[in-house]
Amino acid sequence: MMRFAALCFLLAAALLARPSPAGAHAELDRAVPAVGSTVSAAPREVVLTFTDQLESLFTRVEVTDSAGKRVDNGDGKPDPADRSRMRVTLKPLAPGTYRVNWYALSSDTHRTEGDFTFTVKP
Amino acid sequence: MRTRFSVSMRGTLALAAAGAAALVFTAAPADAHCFVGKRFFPAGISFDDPCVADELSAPVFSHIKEPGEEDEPARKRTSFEFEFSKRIFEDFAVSVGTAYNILKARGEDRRTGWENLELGFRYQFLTLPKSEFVASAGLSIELGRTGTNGIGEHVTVFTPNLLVGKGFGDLPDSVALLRPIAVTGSIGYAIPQYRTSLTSETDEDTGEVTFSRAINPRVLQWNFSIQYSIPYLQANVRDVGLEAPFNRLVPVLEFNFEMPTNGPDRNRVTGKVLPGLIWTSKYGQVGVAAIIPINSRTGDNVGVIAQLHFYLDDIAPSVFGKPLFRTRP
Repeated sequence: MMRFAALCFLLAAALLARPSPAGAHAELDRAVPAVGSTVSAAPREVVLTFTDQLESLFTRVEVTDSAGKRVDNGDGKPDPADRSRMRVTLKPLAPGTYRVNWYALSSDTHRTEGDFTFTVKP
Repeated sequence: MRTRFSVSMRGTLALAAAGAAALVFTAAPADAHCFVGKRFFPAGISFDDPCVADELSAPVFSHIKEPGEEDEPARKRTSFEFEFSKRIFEDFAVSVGTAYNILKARGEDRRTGWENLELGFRYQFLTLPKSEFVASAGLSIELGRTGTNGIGEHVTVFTPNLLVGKGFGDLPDSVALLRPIAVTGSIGYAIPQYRTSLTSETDEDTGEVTFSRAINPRVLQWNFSIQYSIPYLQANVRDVGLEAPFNRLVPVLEFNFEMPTNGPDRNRVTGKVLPGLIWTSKYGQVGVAAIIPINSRTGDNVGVIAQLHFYLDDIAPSVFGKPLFRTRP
């Protein structure tokens, strides 16, 4: 009985882990610059990679400096070539810490949000 | 009595099918399982998260040796618990649950059967995304005589309860690495339908029947957990480079306590500490924890609990992704 239960658990866990093209909450998987990182050269864009595909509607990203001033060009949107990716171009950045705020709507209409900082070295 | 607070209503399943059909093609953004701002609260292993959601626990497996009581010997309990919950409105859900038990005492035959059906109703009355705070209130009803004779109790038990969750994402930058921490808690008071129950016993030799009256105790139940979310760490604080499957882990420490407020065990606390791990995916989560009794009244042996929990709103978003009735645009 116990072995059967353990086997069922493993099978179900494997099912839960299976990859899917779309259809669940879009959570941030990776970012460039990386979450909480310090970079030596000012990046020209921020690229966010999510765990699921994004809908353009309600999906946005904003980058602000330590004073709360927008430093992105307002062109953040899902990448048409890979809808799990969102990119936004940046104005020239001075050394300092910047905050990235993102709001995502996945293809099944579930919302997620998050924010993180990265630092540009002097 | 199960620790998990179920919430549900049987007849709503038919309503669910009809309502869901009408909502399949709506495109408004939806909130689903327990996302509160940046925070995701996974379902607890031994007690539920504070949100209402479309979810299925199938099953929560547990195995532990329970101490004997008076004339009853110690026994091993293996349990498979099931619970289905469905949102009726954005902030209101119903659920139904039960558990299949296998009981084995030394020198006795194995007993198996179903616990009583448990219905529940839950209202998520406060959600503060910026503060990562959420609270819900509910009523759980364990229906007497709906389980297997000798396993399920004969008395219906009503348990009003309150659940809360708080993430620490608003901590200052100086302690940013503590932001992935979250705490959840619940408190409930189990009130039996009848204060006492009359039981009968027949003497096999003489045929004489004796009656005795036993108190059905009211029981205060409280649970809390502290958890550290690796997904939160990597997405909102610092990408430490963990890859799958470690980037989806949530180490958790849960605590369960019970205390009868009347009857022979009045004011005697029993409790368990459950150190464990939860692994979350797109469609559900797997949780495993040890069950460590806090005192001899609770038991002397370490048990185990494992949870398989499905996020129905992500598995079948067109059917379960939305509440049956929308109250908000």
